[in-house]
Amino acid sequence: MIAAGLVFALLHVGSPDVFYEGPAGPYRLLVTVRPPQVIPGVAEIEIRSPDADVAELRIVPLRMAGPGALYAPTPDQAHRSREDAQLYSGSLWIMEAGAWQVRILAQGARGDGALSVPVPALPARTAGMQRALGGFLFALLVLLGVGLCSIVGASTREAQLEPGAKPTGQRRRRARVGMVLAGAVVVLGVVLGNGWWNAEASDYAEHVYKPLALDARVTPDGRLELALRDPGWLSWRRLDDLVPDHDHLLHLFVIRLPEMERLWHLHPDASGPGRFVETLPTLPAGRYALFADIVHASGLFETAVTEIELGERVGPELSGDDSAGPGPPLAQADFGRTTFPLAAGGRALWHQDGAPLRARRVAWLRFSIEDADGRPAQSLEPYMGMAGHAAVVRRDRAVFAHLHPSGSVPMALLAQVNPQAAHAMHGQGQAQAPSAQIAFPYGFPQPGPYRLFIQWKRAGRIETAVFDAQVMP
Amino acid sequence: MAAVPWPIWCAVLAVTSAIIGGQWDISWHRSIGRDTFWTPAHMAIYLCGVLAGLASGWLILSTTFARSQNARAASVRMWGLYGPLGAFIAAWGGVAMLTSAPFDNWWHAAYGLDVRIISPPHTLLALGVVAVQLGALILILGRMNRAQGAERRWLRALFLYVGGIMVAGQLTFILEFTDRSMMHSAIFYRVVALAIVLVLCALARAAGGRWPMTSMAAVYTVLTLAFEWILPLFPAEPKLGPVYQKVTHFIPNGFPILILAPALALDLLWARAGDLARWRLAAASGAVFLGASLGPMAVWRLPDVRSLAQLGVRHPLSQLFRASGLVLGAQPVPALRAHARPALGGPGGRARMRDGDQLSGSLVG
Repeated sequence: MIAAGLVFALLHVGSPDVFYEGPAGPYRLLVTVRPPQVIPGVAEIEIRSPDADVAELRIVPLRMAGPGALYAPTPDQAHRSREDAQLYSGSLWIMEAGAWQVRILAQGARGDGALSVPVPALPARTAGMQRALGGFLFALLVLLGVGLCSIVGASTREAQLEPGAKPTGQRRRRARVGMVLAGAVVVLGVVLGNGWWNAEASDYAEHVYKPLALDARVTPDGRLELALRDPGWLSWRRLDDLVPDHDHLLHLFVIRLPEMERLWHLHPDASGPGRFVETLPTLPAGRYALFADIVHASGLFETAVTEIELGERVGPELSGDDSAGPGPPLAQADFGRTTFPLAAGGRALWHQDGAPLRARRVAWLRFSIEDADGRPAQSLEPYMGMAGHAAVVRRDRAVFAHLHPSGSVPMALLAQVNPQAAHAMHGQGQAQAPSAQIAFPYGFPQPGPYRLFIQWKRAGRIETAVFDAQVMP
Repeated sequence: MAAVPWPIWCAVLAVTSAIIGGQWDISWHRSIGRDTFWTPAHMAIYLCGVLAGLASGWLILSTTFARSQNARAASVRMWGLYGPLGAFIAAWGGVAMLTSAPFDNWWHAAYGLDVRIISPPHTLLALGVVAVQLGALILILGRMNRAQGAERRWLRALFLYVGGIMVAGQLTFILEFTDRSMMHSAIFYRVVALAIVLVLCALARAAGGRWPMTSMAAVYTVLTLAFEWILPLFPAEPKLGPVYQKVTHFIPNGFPILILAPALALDLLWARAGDLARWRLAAASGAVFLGASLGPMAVWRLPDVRSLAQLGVRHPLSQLFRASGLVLGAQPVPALRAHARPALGGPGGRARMRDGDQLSGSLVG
């Protein structure tokens, strides 16, 4: 029933669904949560469990923080699909906008386990009425209006007569007057009702999610100053409550336009509430798209976007977690290419199983790194605590998502809702060397052409591979 | 009783089904929180439209196409069809109710699921139900005015029953304005007066006889008490969080508002009105209604009965409430609406309980 006139304004830019793969006790679960676009609304949950010994999965929605995080209602059972025994699904009502979590309780042969996935619940759109429905309702409205007038006329004219008596001329005139008055009342009612509807609609539209805006400017001495600005949404959103997500308050992705032939992944320093500053590295003149990922303490995570013209810059070498990587211009993009040569020798491969990528269907994006001899690369290190990072951008920049091997959720929030597993998760990244196989779970939200930037760390260097994908509807 | 035609029984059943469905649905949203289209409460409401459509459809079609002219001579005519006026009104109500269903469905998809009673689609539904009630009343009245003896008494009883249901429907529609806490402010009395005075007076004039308004207020009171004591007998579990109180049974919608007092006062006034000019009677009625509302309600609220009960003070009303609840085995259940208007929830999950901490008035005060 949702027709034209949709306005998407979503987290991760155009990518509202949440993907997460992680442990629920002894079981591993791949969870997809599709939050409702209208709040209060129904979130759809899909869980894929490769372990055959899961007997039951139950799901419940909770707030991320506060008393709502503690007082959960009775969990619902997720339904196992008849066609696919590993697939469970369910739906949950999300009643208020804000930061929520979906808790999954697993029961099976190896005992019990629990997993929580942070889910932002944001009113994302206002909807117009479908033409057919609008026409049908309007026709009924006319029927009711005319019916009301006719009923008033009939009752004035005839209701008080004796059986068999005919209405006099005076009665008929009064009936006509009555019908006209009734008509006026109907019109007034419709006008007032329409005004009420418009008031409700505009009231709702005010609560549609508006991401933080990003103001960027370059100082004469080559520093990029960023300021987050609240365009006006719910009063509880703040700029001074950012929490670090693997050690950085803000992850900045800079992509050169229009060919997207180079990506920089930078980490500006905070210089005030919602203000950041970064010394720009060496980069050519041109127009750049900036994507700034932040995480609020309330559990909300956002991507603020902007574009900026930059002149040619000579700057310091990239250091620490900052990284950059080149790729072919979009004009020369090859959707069938599955290898990417690496400057330090070797290549990155994208393993595709031949099936086309489809929108809104979760799939594993699997990559592997080979050294110059074609063997799996050695000496891989965690890059900001993870085996790899991916940035997925639709060519028209309507979609931007920052992914990890565990999914699309910031690690800081995962730790908040899964305190018992937090240590284990970080341990996995740092205790052992990551393997040369890196996989990201993701469901592309819309069909179209995308560019994927994959990053990892090998022998102290951060490397970037660039691939292109055509996602089918 | 046998002389009352089946379409009238059908209409009476329709309005009964609607009020049961309405009260049940509100309690469902308080207790469980979420529902689907096909819950029994929703079906009870739509059954009203179906029954109204059936009864009025049959009446109109059988009158229009009857062989003899008698029925047509005694009917009104609209759009080339003949039938009792009440049938046309009830049919209008049924169409309005059915129109509100897809409208409500779309409204939830566009602006969020049910969090309140008064919304445009719900208002259309309420108008439809009122029209069905009005149609039923006029159907009964038409026959009642021509009947005598036992049949007339039966029909008058049915008339007052449907009138009481109409009053109950009005008070259900304005439930969000009739919290006990709001009795300390003017809004409560304004909204209650808007909702029921016209209905009570108009139907009392039509019914005639003794104690019409008191009877209708009594129907509302008994109906609401029945809900108060029957609903908590059924188990229910909240499916929406945060759950601040452990709810195990359906939470009823509140002890009946004490409209018996103003209804009784108005009946006494009207019985003694004699030849008083209409406008004088109207002015006096308004004053009496307000005075009779404020007085007893204020007395019962001051001091706060619940606090008295908790302190163990023997206040007659608190004892009555507790006794009546215990007799039927119902548990005193705190009624909290944990979810507030959409999009205004803060990060702490602050449940904005618009109605305050509202306890089920019947059992604790």
